[in-house]
Amino acid sequence: MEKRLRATLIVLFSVVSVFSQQTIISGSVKDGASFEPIEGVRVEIEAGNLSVQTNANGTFIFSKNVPLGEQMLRISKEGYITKRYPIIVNANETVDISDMTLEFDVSSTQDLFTIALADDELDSDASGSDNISGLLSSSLDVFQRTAAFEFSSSFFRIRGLDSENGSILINGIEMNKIYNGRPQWSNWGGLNDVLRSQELVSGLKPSAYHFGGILGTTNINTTASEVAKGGRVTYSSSDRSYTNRLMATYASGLMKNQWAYTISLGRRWGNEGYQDATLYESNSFFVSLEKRLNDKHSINFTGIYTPNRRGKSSANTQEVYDLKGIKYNEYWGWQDGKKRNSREKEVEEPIFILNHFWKANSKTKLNTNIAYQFGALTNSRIAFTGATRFVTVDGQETFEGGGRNPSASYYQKLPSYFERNFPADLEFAYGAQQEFLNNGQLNWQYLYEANKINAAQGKNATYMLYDDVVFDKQFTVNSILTSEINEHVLFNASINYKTLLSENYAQVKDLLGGIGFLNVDSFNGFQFDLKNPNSIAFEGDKFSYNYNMLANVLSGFAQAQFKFNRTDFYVSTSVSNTSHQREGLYQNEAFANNSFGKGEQLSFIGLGAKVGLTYRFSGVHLFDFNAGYISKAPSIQNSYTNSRSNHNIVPNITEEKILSLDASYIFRSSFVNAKLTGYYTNLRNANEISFFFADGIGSVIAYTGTQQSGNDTTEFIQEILQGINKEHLGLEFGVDSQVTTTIKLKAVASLGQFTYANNPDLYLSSDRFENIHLGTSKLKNYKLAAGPHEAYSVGFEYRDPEYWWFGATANFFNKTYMDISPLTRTDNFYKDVDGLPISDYEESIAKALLEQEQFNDYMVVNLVGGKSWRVNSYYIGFFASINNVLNEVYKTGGFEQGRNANYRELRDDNALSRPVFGAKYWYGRGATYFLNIYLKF
Amino acid sequence: MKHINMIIMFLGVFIMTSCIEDGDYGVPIPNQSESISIPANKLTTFKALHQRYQQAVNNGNQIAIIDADEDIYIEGYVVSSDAAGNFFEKLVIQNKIDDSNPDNDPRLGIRLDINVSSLSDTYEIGRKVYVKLAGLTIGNSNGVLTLGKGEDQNIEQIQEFEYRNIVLRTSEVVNITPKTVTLANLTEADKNTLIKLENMQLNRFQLGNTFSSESIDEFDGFRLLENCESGFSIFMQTSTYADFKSLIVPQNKGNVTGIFSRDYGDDFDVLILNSATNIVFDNSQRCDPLELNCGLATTYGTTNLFKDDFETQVNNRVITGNGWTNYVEKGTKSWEAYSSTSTNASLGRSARFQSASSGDASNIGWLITPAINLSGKHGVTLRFKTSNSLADSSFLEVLYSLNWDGTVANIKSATWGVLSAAYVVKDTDSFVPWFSSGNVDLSCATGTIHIAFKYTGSGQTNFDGVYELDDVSIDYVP
Repeated sequence: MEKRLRATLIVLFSVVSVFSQQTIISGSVKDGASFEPIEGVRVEIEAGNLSVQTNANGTFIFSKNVPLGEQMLRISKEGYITKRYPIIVNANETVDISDMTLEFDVSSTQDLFTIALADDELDSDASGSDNISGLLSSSLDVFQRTAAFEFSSSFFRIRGLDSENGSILINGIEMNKIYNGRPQWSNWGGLNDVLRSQELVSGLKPSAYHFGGILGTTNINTTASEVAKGGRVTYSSSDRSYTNRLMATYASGLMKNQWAYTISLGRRWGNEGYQDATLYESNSFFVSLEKRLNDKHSINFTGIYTPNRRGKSSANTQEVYDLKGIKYNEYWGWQDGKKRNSREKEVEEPIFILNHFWKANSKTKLNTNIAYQFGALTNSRIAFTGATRFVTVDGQETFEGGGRNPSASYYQKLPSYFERNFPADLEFAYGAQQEFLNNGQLNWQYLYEANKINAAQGKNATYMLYDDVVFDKQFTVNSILTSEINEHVLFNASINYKTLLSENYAQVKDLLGGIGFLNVDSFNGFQFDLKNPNSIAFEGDKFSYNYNMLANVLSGFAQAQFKFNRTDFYVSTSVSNTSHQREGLYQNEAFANNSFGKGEQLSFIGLGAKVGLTYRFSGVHLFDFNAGYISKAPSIQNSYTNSRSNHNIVPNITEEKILSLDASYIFRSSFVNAKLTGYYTNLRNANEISFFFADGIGSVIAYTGTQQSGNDTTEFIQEILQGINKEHLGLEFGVDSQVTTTIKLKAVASLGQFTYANNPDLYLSSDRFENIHLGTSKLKNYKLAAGPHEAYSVGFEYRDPEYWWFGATANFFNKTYMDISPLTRTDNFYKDVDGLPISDYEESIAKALLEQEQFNDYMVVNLVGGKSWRVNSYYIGFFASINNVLNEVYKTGGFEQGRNANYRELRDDNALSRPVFGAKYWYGRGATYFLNIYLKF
Repeated sequence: MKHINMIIMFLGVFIMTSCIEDGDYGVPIPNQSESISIPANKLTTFKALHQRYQQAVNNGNQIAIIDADEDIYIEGYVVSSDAAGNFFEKLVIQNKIDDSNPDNDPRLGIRLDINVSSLSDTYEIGRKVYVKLAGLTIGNSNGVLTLGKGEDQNIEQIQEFEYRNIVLRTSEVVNITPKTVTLANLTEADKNTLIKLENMQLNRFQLGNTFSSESIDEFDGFRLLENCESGFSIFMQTSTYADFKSLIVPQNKGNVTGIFSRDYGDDFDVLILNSATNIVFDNSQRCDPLELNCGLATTYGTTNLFKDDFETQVNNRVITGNGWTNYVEKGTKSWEAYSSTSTNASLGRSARFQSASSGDASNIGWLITPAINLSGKHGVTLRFKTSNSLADSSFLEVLYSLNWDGTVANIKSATWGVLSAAYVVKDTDSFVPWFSSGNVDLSCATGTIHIAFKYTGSGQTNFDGVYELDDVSIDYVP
């Protein structure tokens, strides 16, 4: 076998050096199986950062700025195994490398791995942290690929950064949502075949399309003519999020009439993923149609429609996991013999994009794009506060009703609650435990019966299922210019305009046998819609809140990239003007003067500048440095403190500011590729809003003079953390080595430290009080809950010439931290109702109570393997992976519940073996499989 | 050919129809267990439960425990509702749907303590239920008979994990007719039952109040409901968590329906409403008394017009002499003299009215001063001191008349009003100290005035309080 492989290397291509007046590298690339020339292969001189593409005859040529000496040629194309060829370049000679071959990559299908992410956790807002791996899946860098495919299920984040720091574009149109800056991955889920053409620039590196965030920019290209003619059918089976996936794609290639089209359909479905009752249902439709008008102009239309519905799962306390296991999900209950999940997320936001490509000349291209996206994002949940209006004999109105939290794992139903409150009657705790073990799920029957009892008395529903709906209409237009000024200078610029109308409201989904739902806040009797008081909402009606969010973003960027023999560098700048405005459609009685109509228009100016340099000591040793400074508008989410009720904005709101630096040493030889990067990122002036019930804020309530009784210490609050600074610093290391032609070894390490860098201001708001300043929250030096701060991976791949292959990785994760509650780190923590310190306050105990929990380190072993066959012009292949083979049980994240807001509450709760308001956790999945079969023609 | 392949391929994708749970769930049908029926030989009466508790008390226990293997039930109807938040984790049931009261199974109620909120989701008013008594505990909690759990001489709550197996619903929901009753006729047997009081109004000093949102209201607000005929009153108890706590109390008079109960500390009787709509005060003709209110004077004059410290009276004899008119309007008791050095001490010798053990259905007694001529006198004030012991629902009023001719026969036909500035000891005051009335200014009255101390009570336990009076003095500035 060894002999045959060497023969392959020698026979299949030849390097010929010929003296000429110029230094030239030329050659050709063929399919390793059919020996047909391959068009569109990217040929790259690694050290020189030069690249060209093969033409229809499979040939290519470098004739300018060719670096001399030992060089590494990399040839790559989507769907083929990337190859690297060492060559020696002498001045004024032509190096001719003909008939290099590329093998069809039987494992190419990166989406096979990507089940772990893009389909899956990416959109699971229940997981508490977002996932950036969708951004990286097209990367060729071993570090980034490992982060995307091996680390993602641990919610590892590159450099500890959120996905809002990366930009996702489809055909030059930015897909990050204005609401929170994050991409909505479901908007193009299940279309893996047609979204494979992705251009990733990572970190601060310049993208031709967009200034980008500090994590990088991925542009997905769906232009129909660039997809090779052919079709593909894929079937997958898994026990992770969906059970089945079926996808079919056909691309016409560029036809004689200068038209090209791509169609793709997909369906993913399953009644239950790894977590109980996490149903999955998604259909995907895609069409791309291109007409080449002439050599200079072409027009492409892309339509993407991927309705997606899935059942969510809950974070749980350790008590709940200990009793019910790590698959437990509190959101579902039996109905009609089926598992019914009360919290479903539906995304239905079709995208239409029209692109115009104009090659003004061989040096200059102008790409103009228009996109329109509209549709709804809905999240369902149960309301349990329904009331009925009564009028007394003397004409006063009263709202009677309101039910109880129907969750079976509500704290008042768990053993810990009874242990705390009835320590002398442990049979109560035992009874509660048995009940939770035996039932422990939502009781739909109870809700229906309660509503029916109400209905029989002519009363409204107490319980119902409703949707929180965000219906967006976003229009985007932009123009992207690329111009090669001369052989050293490449100029990019763009101008973008986005406008968003976002309609936000709650909508009755299922009255659960009740008559109707009163549109009044039953806690305080306030009208949600004062202009239309006491209305009854029926299925499909809006209630509770109803407002529009209007946003406009005008932005532009310009950059120049310079390429010289040993040095490349770039300079890039951007400017943006963002405005947000809330328009209330309901006048909320609690905020009668501050909720209806248009609120203040917020306006922000963003500026960005970044520079970078790559210096080549030789073809083998490279040095790379990047620096950037960005100021940007806060997202809508982080601008308004309680947009469902009123116009209030975060106090002292300004632009967020980000400083980011990194430096890398890169080693490239024919045998080993390695990269070591050090980075430092400083984020300043960020805001975070959270909502929860707090116990132990009596001093705040007393201070505001809104005390309703002497024992009034609990309130549903908005916690506004303003002016947060964060620091991210660390090292990244990745190495891979083609030990033999069949065996590749790889190793990756990420060591980071992500911390709060200051003590930000904390404000509380509620229906009773607004923006009460509690001073600072002492967060400095607490760790950020940004996935594991340290992650390591070692692995190998074996690739047999007989078209089968397998691989294995072992991944270690360390230093994952609890998301701490900022409220308990304020002075409120030690204040009693009278504002003086709690009498039995002890600093040493307080310190221990506030210590941040660090989760156990763990190891996850993943296996992957596949085989493919070629039958005439068809390829048939399968692929299987097993994640977490050793069935390691591990926590991926968690957060402190805000309820224990002061020392006494927290101390008393923590003193219990099972705290009532203990932290909630997410666990990683146990062993899971994914199986994929495809047919390609 | 390729295109045909393609079409087949695409069709194939969508022929695979899904089996995802969609939104079309069947609406659940009521549980079969709802049509439960308990054989008569397993049923016991409310009366038997009351007796069982009484036996335990007689044996020196505070609770009676029903054995876990004692397979008996009671049958009752829910009369309380927590829908408006005025009941919390309590369910009151009674054995009758109206005021019927047969001897073998007299009309009675009992309270269930259950550690579950929103009980009305399951047990609405009128729902017929069976309570499985095995393993339950009977006791007195907040002054009313209560079913719960617990062994250690106190009642604990039935817990969430078990309550549906203890309080069993039937499919029967009836209309409960409250028992219409007067305050004076209320008895222990009416506790934990739904009653209706007619011709009631809120005390005139509380008309500006909410049900339970005043700063003094802690846990519960108490508002005085008074009867227009008898003058008897009862507190209306409203939780500070009730949905209607912030409504203004009704201004008119009429009828009110609620659960007859005791306050949390078992100190006095209360009426607890299920809903603000249980008050039907639709008659705007209130029955407030005539009032004289010149306020309080900062000081009193040096010249005395009338004075009595009762030292010359004889203990346990009716008050006589010194111009007093001691008139017994109803019953067999009257104002008497007494002295005591206990914690409930008299001021030397004092006057008191006590109806306890009178056996009378009603006791009304007047103690009236001689005529005081106000003409030409400046700064006339009245001073006196009052104290009480276990006043309960009996009450003492300080009245005046400007047209009484001094004859007993004409007392009832004369016009009597209330001296509202005078502080008179209240049921909620401690029994130990004496309370001064203040310098009650009489200067806005003219002519001849009589002052009367009028006691209203009865021989019944809740109305047989004691009121004590001393140091009556009327002065003016010469």
